[in-house]
Amino acid sequence: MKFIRQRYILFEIISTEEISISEESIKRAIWKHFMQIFGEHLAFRLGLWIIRWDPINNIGILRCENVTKYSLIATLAMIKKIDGHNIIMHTRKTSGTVKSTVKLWEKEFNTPAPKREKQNF
Amino acid sequence: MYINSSIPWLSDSNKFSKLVHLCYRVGYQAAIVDLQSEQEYKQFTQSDFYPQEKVSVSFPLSIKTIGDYKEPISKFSPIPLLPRITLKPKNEEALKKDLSSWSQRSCLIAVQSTKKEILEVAARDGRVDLLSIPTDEHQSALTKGIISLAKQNQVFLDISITPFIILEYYKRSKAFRVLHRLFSSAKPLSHFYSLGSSSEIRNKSWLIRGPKETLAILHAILDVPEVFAKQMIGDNCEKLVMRFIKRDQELFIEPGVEIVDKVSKNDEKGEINKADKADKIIKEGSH
Repeated sequence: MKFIRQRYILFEIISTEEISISEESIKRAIWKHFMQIFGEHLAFRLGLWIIRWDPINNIGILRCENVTKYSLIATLAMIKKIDGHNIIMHTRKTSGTVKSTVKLWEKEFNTPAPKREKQNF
Repeated sequence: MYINSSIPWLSDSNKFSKLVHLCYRVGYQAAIVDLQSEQEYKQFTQSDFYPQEKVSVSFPLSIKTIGDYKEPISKFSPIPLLPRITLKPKNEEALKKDLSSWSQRSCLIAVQSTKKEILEVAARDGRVDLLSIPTDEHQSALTKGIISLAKQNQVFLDISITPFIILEYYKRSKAFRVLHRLFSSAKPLSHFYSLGSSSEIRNKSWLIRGPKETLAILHAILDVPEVFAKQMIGDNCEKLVMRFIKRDQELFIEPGVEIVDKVSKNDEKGEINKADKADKIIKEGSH
């Protein structure tokens, strides 16, 4: 079986107001926009997971397949509203392992990354 | 270096400062400020966001020279800001009149119109730096002849990514279709494109997007190869900035001859001191 390579995207949500967004809202927004732009044809190859999410600082790590990395970043760029708040989903870095992405998180934002919780996606 | 080719000027300095900081936060290292009228040009050049005295640049010239424009305004802006005037003439004669007055000032000149005749004159004129085509309406006005003239005279085609974020469903698809057709007739490999935010972000700063997102849109949706997409965002805008620096520093002497390096009197004694000339003028040949 062919090994599927993954990519980890470190992103932050920028907003003019002080907001706290839930993980569930982000998932819903990403799926909605991804299906709108790329459709079911590419959606099954996305393999989207929210690996880490910090609701206080609005920073997170997304996991996707290597081939759909740019599609996911393009989708993030298209999102302009979550839960009625105007936002910018800004991609900071992409990396090949969780470990290096967490290191990048700590280096870029000077905040510790939260530990991973079990999730049903 | 990622440079935003167009951010709008806001007369409220607090709002403009926020916009510039946001621009820096999403990943741009410099920005070109889109000015719509002479009044806005005066406001910008007299504001804290533009150096009030002539900037002394370090030689040899490179894109890092842009850092010299940042130092005088570093209290107010984290990135250097350069002026660009967008002309919206009603006919060809008005365009020529505008160009003769604006070519004397140190700013980049962009022309925006939906009329093919005006775009043709603008693409042919060497004083024009950019053809601004922010919406699909402007993009569909470009003919093969205009595109070819723009390529010959190294006039940049300035596209905006903002309409794709504002529009939704079939309207967005239409906008993508028009840009896709433009890319198939004027290939990003051989033509000069620059990318930026449009004036629509004036009161909606959350519509600004960073260079990585722009690259992803170009590559994933419009099928532009990654290398050319990077070239469109980075290298082409660098060329524009260099054009501005040369104009601002008055380094052009005559066509084909320009100052490329300066040696200060303290650095080198001898021949240069004897000749009592600090400038090295190198003839580069005609191009």
